[in-house]
Amino acid sequence: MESKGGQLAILSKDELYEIHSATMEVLERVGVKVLEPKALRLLEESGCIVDIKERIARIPEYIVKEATKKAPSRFTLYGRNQKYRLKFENKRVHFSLQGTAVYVIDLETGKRRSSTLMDLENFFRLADALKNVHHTSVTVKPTDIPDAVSHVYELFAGFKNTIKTVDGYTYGETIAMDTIKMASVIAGGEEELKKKPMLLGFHNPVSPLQHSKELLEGLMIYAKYKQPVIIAPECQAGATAPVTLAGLLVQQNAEILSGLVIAELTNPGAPVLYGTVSTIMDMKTGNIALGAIEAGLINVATAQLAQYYGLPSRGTGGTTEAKTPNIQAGFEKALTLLMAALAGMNFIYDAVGALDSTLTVSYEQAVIDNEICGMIQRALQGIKVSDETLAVDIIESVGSGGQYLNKRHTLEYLKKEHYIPMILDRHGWEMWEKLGSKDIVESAREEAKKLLKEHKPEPLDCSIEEELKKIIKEVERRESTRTLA
Amino acid sequence: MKDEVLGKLRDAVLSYDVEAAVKAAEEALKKGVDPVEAIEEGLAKGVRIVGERFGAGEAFLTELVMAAEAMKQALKVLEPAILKSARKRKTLGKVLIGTVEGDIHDIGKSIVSTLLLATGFEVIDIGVDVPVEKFVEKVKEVKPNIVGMSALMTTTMTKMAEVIKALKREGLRDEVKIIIGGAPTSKKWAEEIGADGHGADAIEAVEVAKKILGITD
Repeated sequence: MESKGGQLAILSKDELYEIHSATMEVLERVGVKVLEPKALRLLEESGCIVDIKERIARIPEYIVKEATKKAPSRFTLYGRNQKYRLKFENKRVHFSLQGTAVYVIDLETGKRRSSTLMDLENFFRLADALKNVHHTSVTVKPTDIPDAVSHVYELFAGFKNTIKTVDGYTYGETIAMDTIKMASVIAGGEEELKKKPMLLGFHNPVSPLQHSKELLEGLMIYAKYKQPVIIAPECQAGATAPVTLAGLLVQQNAEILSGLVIAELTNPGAPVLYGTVSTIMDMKTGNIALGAIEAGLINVATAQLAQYYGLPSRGTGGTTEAKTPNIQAGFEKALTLLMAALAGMNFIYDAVGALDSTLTVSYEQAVIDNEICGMIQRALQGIKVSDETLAVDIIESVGSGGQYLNKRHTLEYLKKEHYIPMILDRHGWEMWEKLGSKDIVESAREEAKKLLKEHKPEPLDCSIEEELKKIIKEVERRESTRTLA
Repeated sequence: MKDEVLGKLRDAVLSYDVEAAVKAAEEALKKGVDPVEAIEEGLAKGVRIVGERFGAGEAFLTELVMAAEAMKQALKVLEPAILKSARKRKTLGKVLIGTVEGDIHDIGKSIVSTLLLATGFEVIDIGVDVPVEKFVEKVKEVKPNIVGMSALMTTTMTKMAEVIKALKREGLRDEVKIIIGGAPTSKKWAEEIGADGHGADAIEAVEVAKKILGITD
């Protein structure tokens, strides 16, 4: 079940307007570098001031305004079973698996190793079973599959192992088109796919103020086919963006809005999520700090800016620099997730499974994070006040010194009012000892193993599976001839 | 016909329906079903099923308590008939239970009472804030197999030791087994004050009660 956020806001209306104004100044005075020629041409034709040699487009405010007007304020993403759908609208909050780690903590040995296709399939299946994970991402890069064809294997693994919504792949035109072809098989044709999008694309501007050729190609293909694309810069305050968070928000806003303009010029009405992966650089190590509390603040502000422009939003929460599922992991995750969710971020990426700045993923951590997301959803639901929940009659029937355990009211409202944890330890000390003095990581490991053993996702239609396999073969053939040539 | 009534008793418990349980008990008496059989093959069966589901983490505590509540109310209907009945009800044993003096916390002790009852013990619940002398008096009066004491506060748990001393003084200590429980208590505390067992939670309290009387499933 999804819940609505929006309880937390840190920027005032005036401040949001100030960030908007400063962004317009940056887009007009500084502009953005656009490394894809077709996109640059579109910008020039629409009235932007384009420096062809420098490949820089300066975008006037009215073009940004036209783009935000054209972009939908809400859209739906479908799973392979169309009954499964995510509605990105009105502060509804959704949680996703983490994306593209390259290492996994082995469930048996507890050691870190390179991730494989089997891990990817496992994570899709695990996420299919975990009820607080709404969207399943390509959690790990399968390092045992050649890079040139891994996108089709990844998408196939998703369609095969979960009915939940999946990531597309937008790195370059050819790859993006491969994924469109595969999703069209399930949707029942390209036109159907346009009506009911199934692929979530990613466009990450390269801060400061650049759009790469490959990702713009993908963005434009997805825009053409009306598949939603997240535009999410990963600005690092103090390194690739101003050290001040307000300054970072201005630059990030310029990067997102310029990407949005390109999407809407490509195809008016293209669905876009206003996003962020931004945070600070840790100045003691020079590493990114995805679990920093500043990332939480940036997420709240980004959700507010998305709401200011009337666009669905994508944030990042549940990220940490911790290397194992430990206390640092626990609180960095809980804080960043809670802040993003309370802000009403429509889609919170990397929410489940991430460790080690999203480079390593852990099965145990995924189960733990599912629990955190469940508790956060309960927080979002708030406290319902009605005659029934105020329960005066029940209070009267119990009176002084009685109990509520034997009241039907208790049973009736229990599941609505209380979050029922899956793995949390809530025993007393002695019972905890008796049950093996288990740490949460141990409980999570047992649960992960159990789910992987027992959970069977709704099977993929055989004829569809064959069609998809044919596309994989074609892509493999094409890539092998390309390497030979 | 008999099976139908027994089924009704069990189902009333399984649906936590006090009214239906009371009605089914009345029907059982009217139709001449043996009251002991009505308990053992009807009500208790239902509670046992919910108890097993609770133990497996499939049912909530409130469900177990509600099931036991339905049984308790139906028992009130059946009890007068049992006294007249030739067949005696076989319980697992008699438990006298209460919260010690100075402590009015009821819920933990009540849950244990309910579970004991549901498991097949006869339970005499003497309430909260029970003075030392009252424990002694009641032990003399009802001759229980087990005395259960509850305390939620570190300031009142010492009363447990006083009750045990008093029972010794009266020469009653060896007549009963003593189980204690409550948040601040522990196995260690039970040993220190010379109790026979400690329940870390309600489920364990029932297990300990059974073990202490040498009852195996």
